[in-house]
Amino acid sequence: MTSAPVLVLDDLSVRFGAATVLDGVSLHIARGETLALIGESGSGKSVTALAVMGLLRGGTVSGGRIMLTGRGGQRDLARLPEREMRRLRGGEIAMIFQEPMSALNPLMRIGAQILESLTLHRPDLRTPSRRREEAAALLAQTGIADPPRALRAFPHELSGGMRQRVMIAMAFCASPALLIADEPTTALDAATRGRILALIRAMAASHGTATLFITHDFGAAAAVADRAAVLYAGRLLEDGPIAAVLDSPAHPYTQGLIASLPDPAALHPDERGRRRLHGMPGTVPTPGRRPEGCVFQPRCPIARPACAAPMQPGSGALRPLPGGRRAACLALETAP
Amino acid sequence: MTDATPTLLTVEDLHVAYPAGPFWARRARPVVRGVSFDVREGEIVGLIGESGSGKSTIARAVAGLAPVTAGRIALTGRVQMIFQDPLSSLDPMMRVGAQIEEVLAIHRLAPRGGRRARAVELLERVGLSADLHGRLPAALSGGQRARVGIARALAAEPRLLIADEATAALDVSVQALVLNLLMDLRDDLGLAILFITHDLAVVRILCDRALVLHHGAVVEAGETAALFAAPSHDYTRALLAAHHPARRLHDRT
Ligand SMILES: Nc1ncnc2c1ncn2[C@@H]1O[C@H](COP(=O)(O)OP(=O)(O)OP(=O)(O)O)[C@@H](O)[C@H]1O
Ligand code: SF4
Ligand SMILES: [Mg+2]
Repeated sequence: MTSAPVLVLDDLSVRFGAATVLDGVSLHIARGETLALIGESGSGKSVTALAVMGLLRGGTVSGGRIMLTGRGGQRDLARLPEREMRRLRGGEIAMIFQEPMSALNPLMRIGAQILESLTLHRPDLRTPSRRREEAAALLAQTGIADPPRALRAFPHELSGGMRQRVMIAMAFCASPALLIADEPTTALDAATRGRILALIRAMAASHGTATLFITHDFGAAAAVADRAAVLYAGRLLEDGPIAAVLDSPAHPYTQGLIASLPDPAALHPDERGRRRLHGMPGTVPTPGRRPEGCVFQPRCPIARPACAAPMQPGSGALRPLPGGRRAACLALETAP
Repeated sequence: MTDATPTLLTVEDLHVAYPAGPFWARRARPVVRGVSFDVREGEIVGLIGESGSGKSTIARAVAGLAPVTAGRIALTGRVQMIFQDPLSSLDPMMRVGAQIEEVLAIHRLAPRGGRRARAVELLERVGLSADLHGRLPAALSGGQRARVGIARALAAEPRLLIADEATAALDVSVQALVLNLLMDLRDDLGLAILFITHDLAVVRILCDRALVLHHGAVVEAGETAALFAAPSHDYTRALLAAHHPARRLHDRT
C-alpha cells in the first residue's frame, strides 16, 4: 500500500505572541497506525494537538503545513476556514482528553449526547430509532455492560473509566480518519488504564483510524503505539519504532529520560554509595529562553562546542539513523 | 532498624466513616475498617491499593482531617503533609521565600532576623537555588513547585512526612529528583515518611515496608522486598499483575 499518510505535519511552527512554542515539527501517521507523542510538561504536546484541531486560542501557526488525507481528499488544516474545521471536528477528526468530564455536558444524559453527535456526523442514520440503536451498539463495542442503563445516566453517575469509555464511543461514532488522544488515561488507576488503552487500540484497529496519542507515560506509550516521537522544548528530538525508542533510545535526551524511570533494577550509587535514581541535571528551558544551538545542549552530558553554535535553517531537523530511526543530534552517525 | 529506633506514629484499630445518604436517613459509610500499623524514625512506609481503598483517608486521619469513629492514633513530634498538586497548597500571591518564612514564624522556629537565611538553607536542601526565594509560584516549573512544597513542609521541622501521591503528577525526570531527595531526607535527617502511591515500582525503590489496602482494610504488610518477592494474599497478587512496568514492551494488554 502506498497511500498517503493520514496526517503529515511538515515543519510546523506555532507562536504565542513573541514566543515560539513549536519549532519546525515534522511527523506523519499512516492509516491504522498509532504514534505516541512523548514529552515532558510544557514541551508542546497539547499545542501540537490544538494546532491540528484548529483550536489554538491566542496562538498562531507561524510556519509549515498540517496535511490531512481523509474522505474529503487532502487538505492543509493550517489554512482551512473555521467553518470547515468545525465540520471535521468530531467527524473525520475525533478527540479524547484526560478529563472526560470537561468534554461531556454535565446536565445532559449520556444517550442524548451520543445522539447529538450521531445526528451531526452520521447522516446515513436517517431515523431517530436507527440512531438510538447505533448509540447502544457503540457503547456495547466499548465494553459497557448495560448500554441502555448507561444511555439514561448523567455523566457524574458513571465512574472515571466508564466516562472514558463513553468518550471513546463518541469519538468513533463516525469512523474518524484521525484520532487525537491527549493523556486519555492519566487520571485512571493502573488496572482501568490498561483496559482503556487496550480498548483504544482495538477500536483504532477496527476503524483503520490513525491515532496521535499524547502522553508523558512511557508505559501507556508502550501499550498502544507503533511508533514514538519525542518532543522537548518545542522541538522533535527523536522518532522511530516504539520498541527501538524505548529500549535503545538514540538521542541523549531520550536516554536520560528513560534512565530516570523508576526501575528498581536500574539504581545507581550516589557519591556516598547509596542507591539512587538517575537524575538529569538542569531544567527545561522556557519558550523565551531557549538556547540558540541544540535545545538540549545546556543539559547534555556529551555536548561539544559545535552544539552551542547557532543553527543553520533546517539543521535542527531529524536526521536519519540506521533502522528506520531519526534523531536531531550532531553526535550521532547518520545512515549512509 | 533496631528495636531502639523510636516509633513516631502508631495507628491502632483505626475506623473512619463518612456520612452518606440524604439528611433524613444519614448513614455512616465505613471507609477504613480496623487498620493498625506503625512508622519508626528513618523509615519510609508505603500505603498501596486501588483508588478508593482508603489510602488518602488514612493519611487525612493521621493529620487530624478525617472523621475517626474508633481507634487510636499516637504521634510523636510534628507531622506535615505534601500533596499531589503543590500549587493548591502554595499561596499564588506570595513569594516562595515568604511562604517558607511564614511557617518558621508560626512555629517560632527561627528568630525574625534568621528566617531568611533558614529559608534559603531549606531551598538549597531541596536542590533549589537561593534566587528562587523572591519568585511567585506561577514563575516556577512543576518540579520546582514540588520541591518548594517539600521545603515548606520541612520548615516546620516535622519528624513525620505524609506524602499523598506527591510525585504522581510529575514528569519522570523531576520525579526521580524528588524521590532521591526523600531518600536523602530519610537517611540524613532520620525523617519518617508515610508514602501513598499507586506506583508499585516507586514503592519498591523508596519504601522500607509497605501495607496493602483493600476495601479499607490491610490485607498484607511487610518488608517491601519480601512482599514483592512472595505476595501471600490474592489481592496483592492481582495488584502486582495489573501493574504494567514502563519498560516491558512484550506484555501488551
Ligand atoms: N494559550 C497559551 N498562551 C501562551 N503560551 C502557551 C499557551 N498554551 C501553551 N503555551 C505554552 O506552550 C508551551 C507548550 O505547552 P503545552 O500545553 O503544549 O505543553 P504539554 O507538552 O502539553 O504539557 P503537559 O504535559 O503539562 O500537558 C508551554 O511553554 C506553554 O506555557
Ligand atoms: S546536538 Fe550536541 S548538545 Fe544536542 S544532544 Fe547532540 S550532543 Fe547533545
Ligand atoms: Mg498537555
